[in-house]
Amino acid sequence: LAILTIGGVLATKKKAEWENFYQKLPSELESNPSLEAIRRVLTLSYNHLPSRLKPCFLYLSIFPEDYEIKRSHLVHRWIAEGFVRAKVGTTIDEVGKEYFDELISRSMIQSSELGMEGSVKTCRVHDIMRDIIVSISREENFVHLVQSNGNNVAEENFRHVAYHDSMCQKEAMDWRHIRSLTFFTEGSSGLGLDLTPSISSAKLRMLRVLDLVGQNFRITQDGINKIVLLCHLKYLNVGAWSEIYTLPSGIGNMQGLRILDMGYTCITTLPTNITKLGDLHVIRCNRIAYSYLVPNEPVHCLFDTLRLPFLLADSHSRARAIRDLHMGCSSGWSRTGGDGVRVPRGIGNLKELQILEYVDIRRTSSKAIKELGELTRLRKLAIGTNGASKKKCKILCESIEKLSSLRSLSVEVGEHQDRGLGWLISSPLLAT
Amino acid sequence: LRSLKLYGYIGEMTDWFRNLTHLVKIFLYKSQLKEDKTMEILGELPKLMLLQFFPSAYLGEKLVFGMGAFLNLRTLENFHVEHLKEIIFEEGTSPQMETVRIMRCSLRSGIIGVKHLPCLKVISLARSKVARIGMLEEEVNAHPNRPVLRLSQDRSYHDLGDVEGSHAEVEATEFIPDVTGEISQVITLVTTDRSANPVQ
Repeated sequence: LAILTIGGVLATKKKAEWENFYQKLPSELESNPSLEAIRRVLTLSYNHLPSRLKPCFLYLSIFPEDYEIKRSHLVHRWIAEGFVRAKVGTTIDEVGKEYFDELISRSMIQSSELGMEGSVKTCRVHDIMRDIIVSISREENFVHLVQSNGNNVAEENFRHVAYHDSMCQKEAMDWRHIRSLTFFTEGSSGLGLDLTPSISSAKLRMLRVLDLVGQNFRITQDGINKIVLLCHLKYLNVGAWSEIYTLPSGIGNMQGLRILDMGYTCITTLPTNITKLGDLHVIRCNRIAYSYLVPNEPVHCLFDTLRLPFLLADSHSRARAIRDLHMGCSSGWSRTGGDGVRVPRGIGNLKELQILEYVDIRRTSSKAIKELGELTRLRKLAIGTNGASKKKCKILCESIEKLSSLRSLSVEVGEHQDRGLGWLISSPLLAT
Repeated sequence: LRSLKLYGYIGEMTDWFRNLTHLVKIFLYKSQLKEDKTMEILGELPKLMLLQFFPSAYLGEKLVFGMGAFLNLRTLENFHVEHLKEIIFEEGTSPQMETVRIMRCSLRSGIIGVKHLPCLKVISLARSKVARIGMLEEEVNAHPNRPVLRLSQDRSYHDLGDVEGSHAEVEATEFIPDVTGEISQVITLVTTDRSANPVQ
């Protein structure tokens, strides 16, 4: 019916006007009476959704047009927002997936990419459907989209704010009610605008979700120091890449934190306080590669050490050289490097943990490695054993063996490691 | 365990891998695997759907998909496997294989036997060179499932000609009339890159 109705409108116009019409479709939807029919039909399908699915579906309006939405991303965010109701006998993640599948089967969203085993991994929202949920979201003060070509006067108490293509502007918004902040902005400048001023407001204290999806913003060390003060935060994604040197120990106060996605940073060690966060489901913390002082290449390393004063004096190389120095000093320079982060003792307290990447086994204590075996919910584990002793590798093997939920394992050994992966593949491990 | 990524030296494929009966995806990098038991052991993994060889994963010159092996495999990816010369699909292998991706490889003996892959949909060559590309095209064109051969560059870029050696020279003279005919075919293949059907 929706297709027929649009066809009906187009038939009354000349071909040359179609493109024009297409661009105006969102605003036409609100005014043109014949399009009112489609709107009614699609709104009807929204109204007929069970009440538990309505906020989940409206929430999709934060995503940009034609955006390919990952199921895991969406489900994690739904849970962080409290949209998913727990059921007896199943995990909240499973319920979230059921919601997703139900929206697919009701054709509210379209499946896009299928996984190897046939389940839907990504989805899209149809343009017209998106226009409708964006307008419902606006009416209900649910979502505010900041777009350079849009009307950015936001005076109401919006719950969710998403930046699509514009710079971060100071707006006369009431930040006190905001539950989620999402940045989809892809930078052409590539400069990585510092977000610190925007997120350091004490008014953001109700924030549940901070999600940097696009590349145009960066969180700095100052930024992360402020973020850990947001004690209600459940979902934190600081973006694919950022110049953060340490995770402040104040992170121990973020008691509700479920998802911690640090992407690639200069962090070499997870703070002990992280083990207080009993609700953590995901820890992703990878290391940026060295630019100059690569420990695995001693000759280059020596050469670059000698020209360090020049590197530091030059504005282009300065930041990279400082990064290298920081990572090198805090991880103990060693020829067999070892990327990833040191995991503290007490990691075994994080009973809910499902994803943990990326652990530097060389710098993690034997006791902490042993505790990895207590993470019985762990589904995905990424480790590097570069430079680790045989004894540690043996303990690691025993720990991995205990991980009954493990579905995905990534292991990286150093080029100089004796017998390479031999420690893993000669063990009776994973026989089940 | 469903997914396993291994970065680093393995050398000889061990029986340990036979335990991974639930494995769906495997990614191998710098493993330096020897030719002998590798494909035999991997081929017996009952649920394996994705096989990825990355640089130095495999040191053998031949990658043989044997009869009755890889019963569930859907996708093969070879990325810059330096020593590899030849990929052979024997009759009765990989009955589910849909996609073969070859990236930055130089297969000096070619890809042989794609006609034995009944479900094949796509073979893509990205910055890769292949010997006897004409034979590969013949197999693709005659394939009842109408797979697509995707080339990232012009055909001449990918074509390594015929195999070196005296036997191959004889073949080469025999092939000359065909080769000219095929060039026109390939140009159309490139332009219909994204279409579902290959050119007749």
